[in-house]
Amino acid sequence: MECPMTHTSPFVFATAQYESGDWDSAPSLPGNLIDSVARYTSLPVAPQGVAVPLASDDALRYPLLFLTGHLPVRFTQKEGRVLQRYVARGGLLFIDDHNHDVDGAFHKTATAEIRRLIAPLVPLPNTHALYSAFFTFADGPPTTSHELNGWGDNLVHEQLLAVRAEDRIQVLYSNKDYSSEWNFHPDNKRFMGVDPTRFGVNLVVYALTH
Amino acid sequence: MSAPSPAATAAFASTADVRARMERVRVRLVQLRTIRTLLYSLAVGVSTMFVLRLVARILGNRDADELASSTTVDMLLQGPLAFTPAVVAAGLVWWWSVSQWDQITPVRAALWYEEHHPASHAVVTLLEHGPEVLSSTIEQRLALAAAVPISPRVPAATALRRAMWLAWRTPLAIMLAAVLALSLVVFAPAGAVVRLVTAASVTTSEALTGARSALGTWNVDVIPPVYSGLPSRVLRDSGTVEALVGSRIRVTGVGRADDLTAAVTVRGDGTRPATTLAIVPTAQGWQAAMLMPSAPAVVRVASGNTSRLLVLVPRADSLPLVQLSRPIGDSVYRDTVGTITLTARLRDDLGLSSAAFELILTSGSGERYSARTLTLAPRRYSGERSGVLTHELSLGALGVAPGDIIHVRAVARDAYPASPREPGVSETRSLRFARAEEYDSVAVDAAPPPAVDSSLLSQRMLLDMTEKLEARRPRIARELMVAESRKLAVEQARIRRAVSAVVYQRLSGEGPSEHVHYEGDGHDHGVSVQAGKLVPSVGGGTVNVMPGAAPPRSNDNATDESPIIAVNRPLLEAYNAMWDAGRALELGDTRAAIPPMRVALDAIQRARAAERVYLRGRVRAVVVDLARVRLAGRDTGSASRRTPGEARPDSARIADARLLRAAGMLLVDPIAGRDSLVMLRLDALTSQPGFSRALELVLSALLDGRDATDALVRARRTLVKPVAASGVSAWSVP
Repeated sequence: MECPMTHTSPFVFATAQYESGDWDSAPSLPGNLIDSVARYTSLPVAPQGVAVPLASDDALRYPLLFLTGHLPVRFTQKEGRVLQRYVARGGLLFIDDHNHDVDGAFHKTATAEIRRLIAPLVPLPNTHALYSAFFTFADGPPTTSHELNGWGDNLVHEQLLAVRAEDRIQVLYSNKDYSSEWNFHPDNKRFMGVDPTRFGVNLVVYALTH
Repeated sequence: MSAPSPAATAAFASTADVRARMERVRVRLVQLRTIRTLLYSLAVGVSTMFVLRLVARILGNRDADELASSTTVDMLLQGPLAFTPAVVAAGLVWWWSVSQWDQITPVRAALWYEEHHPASHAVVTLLEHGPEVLSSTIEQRLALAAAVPISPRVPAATALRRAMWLAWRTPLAIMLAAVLALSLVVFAPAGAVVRLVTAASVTTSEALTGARSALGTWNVDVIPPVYSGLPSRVLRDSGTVEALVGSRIRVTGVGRADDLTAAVTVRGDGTRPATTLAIVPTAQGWQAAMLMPSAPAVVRVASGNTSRLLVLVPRADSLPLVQLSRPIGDSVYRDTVGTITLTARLRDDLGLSSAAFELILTSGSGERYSARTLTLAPRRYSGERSGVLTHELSLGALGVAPGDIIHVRAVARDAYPASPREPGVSETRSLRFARAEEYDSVAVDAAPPPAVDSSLLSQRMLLDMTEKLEARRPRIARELMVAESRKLAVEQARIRRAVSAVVYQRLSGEGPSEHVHYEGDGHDHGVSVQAGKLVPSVGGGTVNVMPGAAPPRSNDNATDESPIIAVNRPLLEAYNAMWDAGRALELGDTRAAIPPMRVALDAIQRARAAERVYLRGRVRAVVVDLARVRLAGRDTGSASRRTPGEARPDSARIADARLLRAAGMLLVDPIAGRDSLVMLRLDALTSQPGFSRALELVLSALLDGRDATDALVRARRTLVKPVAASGVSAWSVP
């Protein structure tokens, strides 16, 4: 199988499939972020995202893995092993809680699984290079309309959580529900004053440059 | 001077006496030649063995620092076949020498005799011509020869012995040199054959034994943590201690404690500074104690220039191993009644403490989920190494409803005292309970078109916001309440228009933004606008799709509605309910708005199910038109420059270089070389366990005074694999 990410091949947005939950709860998000990468950068990017099973070694071929859902996250042994190898080999796993609820099942189980398999998640400073990888977010992660509306846990999360190794982010965890915020058809961006997916561009650029 | 032999000390008695004496000289000369040839043959044979062994070692080692060896050559030259070339070489020398021999006759013996005992050739003449030539002259010369004083001339017997020595000296020297060289090859220390041939150095084993004896023997007491329940043990004069993390390690030695120092260095995850250990004098000698760290460590006990190492190899208390054997896999259940059997098998290296099933029951869909975490069938264990946990899960008692999902796993803990430690967990099984509407869409990909789906989500969120605002109403001012409610009304109108667009698009085939609809616009779209609400026109009449109206019969064939109207009916109903909800929200009456909003949500849900039945489609994947959108964004950013990370060091090559340095150091400073190997082993304990085990054999051989060459070679092969050559070698069968 040809490696999808070499120095000459385009970036491929990959969504992680895991067995225990609704991994495909944000089906429009990949296309939206791909659109943003093309819209704001000159990075070569594949026009369509892929879904890659976390239990497969194919996951190791992608520099950025996106994982979301509402339901409890319990990785199988194979998924856990691949995940450990993935972050050890330089991959960036971005987990977003589609429930945006720190008391929800997704948050509790996902953070426990990351702690068990990799390391505890700790707050990521808002001055981290992630927030200036392409666009500058001086106040840290951009808020989402879901947070501002008070849905989920009624909190506006000021920081993302992360597992880092020598300042490189291995796992990035969000309670902000970017899965809902970015889950729309990219053509609708023309109606928006500020494109909410710009932070997704930072994610991609950071994953490709660190 | 040695005693004169009969041949030289007595006068010849007779002709027969002359012949007898010369015969004895001839026999001795034959013996001399035979032994000399034999010595030469042996020397050549031993030399052949030496050369072949040396060649084998050189071929195997390639150079003194490289510890790889040629197994085939080595085995051939070390096995039974090793003597064959030597025997053949010796045989060839023997055969060649014998073939060159001239016969030693009595006359030649007499000539040799007269060379050392001049008799004016009387003896030779007598033996050559017999008694008939015996004349008075010959008798006179014989008598004269016999009468000549022995001194200062060398007597014949002494000359014979000297001749034998001169004859044996050269081959004997060659043979001794060959034996010495061969013994060096065979018994040389590790990896230093070539060096040892040129400059023999101190043997490693002697130096190491010396280091041990200088510090005396010691005993190591290992006292495991109390929670483990393991017994204490005593290791006699051990250099390595493998024990549970947290075990108390007590080293007790004999001798004076005054000049002893001890320090422990923890390795593994980066070298840390050594920590000095207190040496406590005791009645018998000294004692030092420490706790087994979580990373490999080494204790150095030193006295003057002599030191000895104690390697600490920690063994972690592993998490319990939990296997969920029932249910055997994820499943979807049709009914929410009955029981499900849960069975888990548990194992632990030290002993179990507790176990239970952990269950998460998730209810809801879309954006609304609630979860309950339950612990079932908790059980305590009293240190058993294994166990079985079972439970009958009653779905009725759990209150499972259609659409719910159960995630179940088994967890077990051992007696490890640290509370933050993760428990041992099994794989998680997901048990889902199907909704009724799923039954007729088994063959359909569970996904509606995105336009309807986005409306559905938005309506649910809007309802959620309205309910929250309604809950806040008693606590906020009326003006604020109305202002917030009107914001929601705007959102409700937006969703309503989106639904309207979908309906019109389906009925007329036109895009949502291409048409304007109003009452009495003269268009026939299959619907008409009445008092702000949409009413389908069927056969010139209208169908009641007002909220609360009785739904049509489920059999499509028995209704007058066209299929397209049937598909859109729920959306029309949702549109009209949204109209009502929007009016109530405009007035700030959230309480009145909530019921029609719920009706709208239910209607959209039904529309979604209908889509799944009728359209049988899946979400169309978004394929971005990259050429159209490339760099079309209004915002600009700047990418950070990529800084390629440094290549990770090749741990195998680093370990290989350290191994070679340590092996070379064994020849110069055996203790330093051994210590280097000990440190190398410690560093490899976790990252290169195979190499670490191989080094353990090397250290064992060194401490026992055995040849460590093979062990070193094997250790190196765990790091650097032999390079496969293409084609067949000379040793292969063609």
